[in-house]
Amino acid sequence: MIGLHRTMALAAMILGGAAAASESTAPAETRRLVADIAAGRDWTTAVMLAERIKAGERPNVFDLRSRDEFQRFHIPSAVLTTLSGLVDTPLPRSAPIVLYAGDGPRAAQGWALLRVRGYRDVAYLREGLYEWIARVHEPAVAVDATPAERAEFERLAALSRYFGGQPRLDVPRAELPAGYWTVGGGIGARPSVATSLLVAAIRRRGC
Amino acid sequence: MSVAPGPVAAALALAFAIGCAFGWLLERAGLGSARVLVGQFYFANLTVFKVLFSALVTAMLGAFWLDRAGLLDLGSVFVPETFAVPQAIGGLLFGGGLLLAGLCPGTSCVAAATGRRDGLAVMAGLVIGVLAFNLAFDSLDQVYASTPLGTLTLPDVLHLPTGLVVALVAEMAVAMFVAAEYVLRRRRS
Repeated sequence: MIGLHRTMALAAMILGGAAAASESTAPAETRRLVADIAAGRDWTTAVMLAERIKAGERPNVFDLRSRDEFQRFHIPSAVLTTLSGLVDTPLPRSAPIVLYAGDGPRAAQGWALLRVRGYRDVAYLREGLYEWIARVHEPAVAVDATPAERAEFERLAALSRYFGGQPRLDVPRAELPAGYWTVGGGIGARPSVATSLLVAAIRRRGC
Repeated sequence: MSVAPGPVAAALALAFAIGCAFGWLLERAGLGSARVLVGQFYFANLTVFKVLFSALVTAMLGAFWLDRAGLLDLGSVFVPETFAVPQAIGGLLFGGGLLLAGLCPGTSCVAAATGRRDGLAVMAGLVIGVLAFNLAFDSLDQVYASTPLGTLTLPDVLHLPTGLVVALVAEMAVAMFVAAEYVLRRRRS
């Protein structure tokens, strides 16, 4: 029995020492971050976020823009914060968190910071607030839309009305808001958040 | 969101199997006896320390290396949150109860299963305590949720890499086992 105890103690010491030595290679958490980014698990869509809020799920939504920008327009239930405020958040590690910003990479930076802090259920809006404006606040359907596009629009329009948005019917196809959800709609194919908000405000006033 | 019955039934079956294994191991380790448990407080019998620290170090090393091998996602393992004051109060109550009864919840079940009447008495006390706590929960709510510190782990608190903490705990455990054997040998002689 003494022999067994000694063997177990030796095994514990070797495995423990190797654990410290293994930190010189990328830790498992870092490899998981890389895998999540590669699989697209780091972001969510504005429509998915809207559906979660509508379903009463209450994810913690953080707006990483400036106070002025936040006061001008923000996603319902969003809380204004900064990257340093985000790091000090007292939320439990299992809390669902969604981040968004304007046109810059701040939301993705916030995602990485939170994941490093041990938060597991974190995602950000890929195209920031613009995505919310284009897909939830003012979803649009082309005048020559296919039945499938019209059906998708009906779904988005119902969601939009829930959040007090203004769905737009029969828009010329060239004027549809571009994004990853449209063919060829990369980040360079769209206006800035500021321009989108300005256009939305003008449209709302009826000009 | 509804959960499919298959995975729930499988999880419950697995939990039952783990519970049975846990109980069997506690019994085989001799922890169904109040004398063994109370001996810990007088440094007369260090079985509790040795059994539980062995389990802790085994689980820690197993979880760490399974994670490194990509077989377990440590990030998805549930870590309870820390509430300093209510957990300190709970710890004192638990310790007091353990000292008085000589059994804790798990070992009381083991003791009862082996026919010990003190085990049954502690289990009855356990059920009464759970009922009383739940009935009084509305008035305890403020204390229950006070001083939240979030999910704390040793690497977070010590600002050290996880692997280094694993190494420190493992080496410390081995040193303490050696010290425990030394203390027991001195007491016997």
